[in-house]
Amino acid sequence: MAAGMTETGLVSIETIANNGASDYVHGGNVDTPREGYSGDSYGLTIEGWVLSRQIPVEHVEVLHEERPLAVVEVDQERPDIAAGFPEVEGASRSGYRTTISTLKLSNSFELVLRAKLVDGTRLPLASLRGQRRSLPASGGEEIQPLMVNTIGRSGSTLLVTLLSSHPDVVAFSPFIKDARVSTYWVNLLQDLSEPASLLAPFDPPDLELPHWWLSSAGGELGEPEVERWLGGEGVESLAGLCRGQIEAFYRHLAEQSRPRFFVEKYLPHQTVPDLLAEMYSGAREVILVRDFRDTLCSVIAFNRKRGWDAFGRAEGGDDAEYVRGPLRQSVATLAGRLQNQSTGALLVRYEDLILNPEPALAELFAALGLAADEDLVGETVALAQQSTASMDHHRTTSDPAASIGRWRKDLPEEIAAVCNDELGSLLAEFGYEAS
Amino acid sequence: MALVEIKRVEQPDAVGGGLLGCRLDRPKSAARSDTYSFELVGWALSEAGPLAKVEVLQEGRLVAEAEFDDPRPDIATAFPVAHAERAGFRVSVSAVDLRQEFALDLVVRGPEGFHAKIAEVTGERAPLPAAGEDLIQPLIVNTIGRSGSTWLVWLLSCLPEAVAFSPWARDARVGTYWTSVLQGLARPQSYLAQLVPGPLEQPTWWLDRPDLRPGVGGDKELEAWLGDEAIESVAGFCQSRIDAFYARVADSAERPGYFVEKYMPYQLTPDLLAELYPGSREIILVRDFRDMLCSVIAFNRKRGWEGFGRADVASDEEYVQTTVANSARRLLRRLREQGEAAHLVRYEDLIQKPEETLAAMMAYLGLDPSEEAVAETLARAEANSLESHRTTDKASASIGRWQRDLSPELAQVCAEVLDPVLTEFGYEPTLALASEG
Repeated sequence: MAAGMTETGLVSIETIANNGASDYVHGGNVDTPREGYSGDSYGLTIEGWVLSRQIPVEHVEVLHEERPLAVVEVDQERPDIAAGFPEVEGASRSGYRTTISTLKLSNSFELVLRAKLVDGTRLPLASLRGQRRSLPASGGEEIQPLMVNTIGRSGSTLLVTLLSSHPDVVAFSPFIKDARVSTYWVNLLQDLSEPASLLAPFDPPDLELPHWWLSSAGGELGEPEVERWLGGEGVESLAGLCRGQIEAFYRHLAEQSRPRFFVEKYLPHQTVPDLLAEMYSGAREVILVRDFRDTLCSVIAFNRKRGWDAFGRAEGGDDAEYVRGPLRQSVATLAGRLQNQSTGALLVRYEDLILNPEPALAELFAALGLAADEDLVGETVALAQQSTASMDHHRTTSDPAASIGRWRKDLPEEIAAVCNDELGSLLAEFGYEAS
Repeated sequence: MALVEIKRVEQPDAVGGGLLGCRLDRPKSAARSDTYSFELVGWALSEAGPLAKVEVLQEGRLVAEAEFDDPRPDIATAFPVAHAERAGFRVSVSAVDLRQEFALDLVVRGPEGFHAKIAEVTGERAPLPAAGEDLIQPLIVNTIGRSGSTWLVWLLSCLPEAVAFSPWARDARVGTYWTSVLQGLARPQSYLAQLVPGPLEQPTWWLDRPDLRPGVGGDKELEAWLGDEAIESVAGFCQSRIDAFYARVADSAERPGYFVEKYMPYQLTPDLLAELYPGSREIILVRDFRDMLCSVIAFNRKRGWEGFGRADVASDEEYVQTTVANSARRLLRRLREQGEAAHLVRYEDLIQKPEETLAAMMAYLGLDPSEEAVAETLARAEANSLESHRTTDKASASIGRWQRDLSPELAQVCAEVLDPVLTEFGYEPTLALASEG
């Protein structure tokens, strides 16, 4: 059980910090939940108000780890605020209300509420710190997740291929496809666990709308016990069923063999690895890194090769912005996961896999509790090399070993300097030298 | 065993009406699919310019659509117009969105409202595997809004063997919810996303990827498994959620035999539930469609906004000609198709002869229709119903209200489009009553 949780509470809120009045707003407050809240559902209702001075509020955003989780209209009636601010236009409808699934949050979470004003200004309103109880884990009899958590263009396809070449590990055509079976089912679990979906059968918006079952007005059911069951036990059963679907897929893929792990890739921003670690008692996480400057060169070259921007590059403006924004955020997340002992994550460096595959792999297999004798490791590497022989479409250099340190010649000086400023300490944490 | 078999593909021998040409290349008649989906592949070329999309319609309702994005150099060679290069389409159709015996129309659409039907495809799909005889079975109330369905659901939920969720307060659609989830996940546009994921940042990337087509996963055997066994497994998953919910709501030592919910005539859900649950039962509830129309008009006026599909049309006359007439005909077709598998209940009988009507329903459900059991159930229903719904006098008074409430013009429209269906359901035709009056 997470620290600070009660026996019955699935979600608890420990602290709420309201920013109150400012140059932009007359005031604002999170009314629900309150500090000390403990709920028996994985859903969390957030209610409050905000009243702007000059520039109207477009909406309120709920963020988790800097990523938007919900966009909420400010349209709820608040006669109490209207009474307090009788001269202010819009005070009577200054309330907002939303419900979110805490399965989209980490166990210990911080939610930030931010108002977006119509001129684009974003104004922090409040932050809520709390905890969510872990989903119940299975007994460990299923094929367990082996999660490769990494940034794109770090050699994850190679690592997944190497891992899946071990007789105790299964993956779906890692060199041809980038299957995300567990992400599919966990994302489905997260979306169906949203209160808007849980309550959709009781307040269907319009049965003819596509995917109507993912949304509803999100009001209350009027039967608290049934609502608690839907948001608590119902969600946990759903998690079990999703686990069953993942198991069925990999059992079918493995045919007669009985592997211990299925291996898939995950991105640093995803909460999927956390949920899988909760749902599977034997889940393991491998954090794969590559000198982030080489990763950057590879992203730029790969995007150029196929003609469109990916790997979060489109979000960040120019290359410098990409480094300061998405890339730095991803690297910091990986560093945080590695430092967080509860993840039990193992570190693998791409450079070791390329330059010294056998010892790197033997060490990894051993740490995962897999057979790691010399012959088996040698066979695994040979098998993976056969599989990777036709991966030209995936490469941006002709020789993987030659790609190590490519940033020294490929990165413009000013971008290398930005990398140094933004990633210097993080590079050192992963054993790379800053320039 | 094939899960889908195409019986017949019909295409016009001659084209025209704004099309330079069109052809459905696949499937051919007698084609079979080992999964719960199949592809429609072809091309169409309009005289005016690029077409926007192709739609697959079942009983006039959209079940799949696609853009014209399949390169067809052969068509470009045959028709030297600029837009011929991308005259091809490929539409994945999930058979779980289709009736077991299905008939599909392929319609192409272009700018300025242009549309043309280019093919008809009929076929058959295998039923979803029935499972879970020990599960709480669906008791389907198939009906049109304002036909007394809330009272009927409430009455049925007063049977010791049945459960419903707060019929007076909510219009629970748990069965529809989970069959809709099943239909969503049974589409190749969803399940293939496991193998070829889209941008993971996009909301519901796992649900709707129109670019995913059979073969995209590069493993035919695995795709076949995903399109067959895995879907059946998801169906079991959905059944278990429905069962868990109603077992929780029933909250009694003895599991109820049935859960009661309403369904609308156009929905495929009753078909799917009937396939999945061997013990499902279906009651088709009708009310004199003219009284129902009066009730819709009055109810919409009372609450200040248009519901029951009335907002989709411009006038009450059009509402009768389209929404009401289509729903009534669907219910009639359903009754004929189901035969003795379904049970017809007329609202008027439910109000005026409740004992007799309830006893007949209980017999249909395989329950004890004794006088005592019927009386106890009715007493329970009357005692616990809302005051506003308890007055059978009021309900009785509403029977035949159309004769005083409907304008002569609207009554005339009812006569023209509803009389044949009304007669089939045992109601007096409008014209006969008008002449009596």
